[in-house]
Amino acid sequence: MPSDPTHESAADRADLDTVISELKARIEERRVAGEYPGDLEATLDAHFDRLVGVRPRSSPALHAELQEALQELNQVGFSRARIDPSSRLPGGRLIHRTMSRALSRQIDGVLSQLEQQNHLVSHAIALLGDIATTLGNEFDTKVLQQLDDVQVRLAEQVRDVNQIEHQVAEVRERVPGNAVDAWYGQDHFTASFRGGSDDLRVRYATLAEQLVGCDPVIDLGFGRGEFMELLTELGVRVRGVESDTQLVTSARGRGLDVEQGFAIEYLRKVEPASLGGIVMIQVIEHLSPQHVIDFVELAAEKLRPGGKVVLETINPASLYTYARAFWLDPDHARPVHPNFLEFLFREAEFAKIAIEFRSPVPESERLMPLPGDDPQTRAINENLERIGALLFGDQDYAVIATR
Amino acid sequence: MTITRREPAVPAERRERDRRSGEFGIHQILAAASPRDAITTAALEYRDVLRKVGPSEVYARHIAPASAGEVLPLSAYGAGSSRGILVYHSSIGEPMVSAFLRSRPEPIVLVYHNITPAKYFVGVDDEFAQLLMLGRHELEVIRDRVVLSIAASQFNAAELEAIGYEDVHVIPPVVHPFRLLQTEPDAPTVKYLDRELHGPLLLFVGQLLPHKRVDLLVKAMHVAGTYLGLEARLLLVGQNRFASYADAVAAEIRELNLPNVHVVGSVEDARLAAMYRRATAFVTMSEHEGFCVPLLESLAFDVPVLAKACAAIPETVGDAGLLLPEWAGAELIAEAIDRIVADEALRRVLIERGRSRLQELTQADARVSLLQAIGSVL
Repeated sequence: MPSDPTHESAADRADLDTVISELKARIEERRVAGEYPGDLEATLDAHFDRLVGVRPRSSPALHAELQEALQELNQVGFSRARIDPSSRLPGGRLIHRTMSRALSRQIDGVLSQLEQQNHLVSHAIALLGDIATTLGNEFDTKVLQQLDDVQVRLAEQVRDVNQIEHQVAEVRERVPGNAVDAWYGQDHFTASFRGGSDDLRVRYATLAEQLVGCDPVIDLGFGRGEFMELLTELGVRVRGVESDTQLVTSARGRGLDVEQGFAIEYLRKVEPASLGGIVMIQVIEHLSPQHVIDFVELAAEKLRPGGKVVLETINPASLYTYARAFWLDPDHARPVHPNFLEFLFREAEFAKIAIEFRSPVPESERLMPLPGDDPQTRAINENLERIGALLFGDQDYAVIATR
Repeated sequence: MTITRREPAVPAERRERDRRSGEFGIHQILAAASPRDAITTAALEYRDVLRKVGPSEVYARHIAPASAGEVLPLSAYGAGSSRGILVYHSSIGEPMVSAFLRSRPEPIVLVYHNITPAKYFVGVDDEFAQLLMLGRHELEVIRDRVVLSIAASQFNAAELEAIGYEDVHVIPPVVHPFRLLQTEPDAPTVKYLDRELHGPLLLFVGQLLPHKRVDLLVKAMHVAGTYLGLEARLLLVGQNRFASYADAVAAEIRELNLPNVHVVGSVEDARLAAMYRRATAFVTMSEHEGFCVPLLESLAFDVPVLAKACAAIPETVGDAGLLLPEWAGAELIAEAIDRIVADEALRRVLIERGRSRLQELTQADARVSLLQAIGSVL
């Protein structure tokens, strides 16, 4: 043995075949010495087969067995000599022999008929075997052929479905008001157009106070989570649902109880009469008309008596909002009129419905009255006020509906 | 307080795919993908190389959650373009994948990883046996669409040629036998193996499947312990996918009273590394392997290999393993185990040969060979 194992001499390169031969010889020795039971491997195999359960024999094995049986059948020798003449009675053997000789013609006749029949029977069995094999082959071919047909049809359908899916995707992307799939972060969008978190906290403080004592509350579409934070500070238990992955991750990082999902889908799964409050701030204008209608019905079902919906949305009665907030967000579907929402909550039998107009247009952007108090100036100013009311109504409105 | 969408938007990968659908891409198709699966790993490595040429994605019919980001669902494959090449990794039949391949007009590059003969699963899991049969049938069906066929071993190539494939390229899979060697072994496992498990340690790594013949290994441990007085432990490491077989192996161990044989199950890399480090020899009696990566991992850990000379095992391990004839039964295996445990000189020879075998295998970069082969049909 070399001391340095990395330098192995040619002599050390043991011939592995020799090793195997040695092992085989060793087994022989042990068998001869009686160290191994003769049927050790067969016993172990039978043991495992029993454990794994009876396996059906493969058809080639059965086929071989049938051939063997047929061969045996063919080799059966029909002969008078094979009829045992022995007898327990004294002289019985002699009687049997005499009778056998006397009846030899009949016995041989019967035996030869039996032999003929045996040939016929084994031929018939062989034919049956062939038929079974042919049937099996035909069956295999037919099944595979049918499988192929099914697959071809499936392939055609897969192709059709793919094309339809592709067309639907194209159409979806072209339809205005359909959900957009933005590559930019929603947090950046909000920060750019809705102001900083601190501004929003000031803006929503009074709305949040409406929900004190309304645990548990869910905030659907919580965005950056300002409203949730306000509620938490007020001691209200609140859970948030938001579709945007980044916003969910960020909120979770700040310790808020949130999950990813879509508002209406989430609400459908909530237990009836289990909620104290539902918050939806600047979200309803993203929903389709059907979902707006569904939302109010779901809110009625999921809120317990005394529970509140607090929502805020853009006020479509102010034409100013069309020049600003509404069309700024590509994900906005359509504005929801305050009168329609009020109607919906009333129809859904909410006990109390309050509409609160919010975010007045800054004075600096409104129409200025003309100076003077003569009848003409007064008339112009009255008209300006009417135009102003239509153009520069408050930008948002909130609904506080109590179940 | 921002955006709640009415319904899930078009996934980003879909848009990306649609954007690219006009381009020429080389995409790979698998039946199933999971993080530690050898075929998935190979496909992802190929993808990274293929992406240097153009768009390249890996699509699978069944995707384990942990692979969901990397591998795309087959249903996400765009219907838009028919430009490009599909690289199909075959290892089993999967009706939806068959249908998919038939629905596509692109030429197919077949990478054959081997389909286990169905006979091993008849009676154990008939449904699985049917999928295996379907897989072989599928190879015949797509033959005329295949512009290039690649086999992981000569053994696999011979199987393809037997059903009419011509000019099969043999490209061994991308292997990283040293990756595990560089993994920090799990400290508690090292401690346990050193302190609690004394004496020689035999290691089997592979799924507990009928064709891996784990039952035969257990029988050999019985013979070696009872008749040869061998005192060694055997660790059976690997996923248990077929309860009927794994349960029978567990019952066999119990009924033969073999407390020195441990069914460990699937383990993470750090624990596996600890086991390879401590192992006296690697043993497998598998009768069917398209390549067999654990053999190379053993060589990397300087663990000598004892195996049967079946399927692709001889060409994978070369002369670096003690290879028993295909017909070897429990007695011969027991003798061989006894020998490899007792004969340090033999182990040393095998280890030495293993090192040079590994060098040979890791010289060629499978990814480059694959690219060249695909380049030849473009």
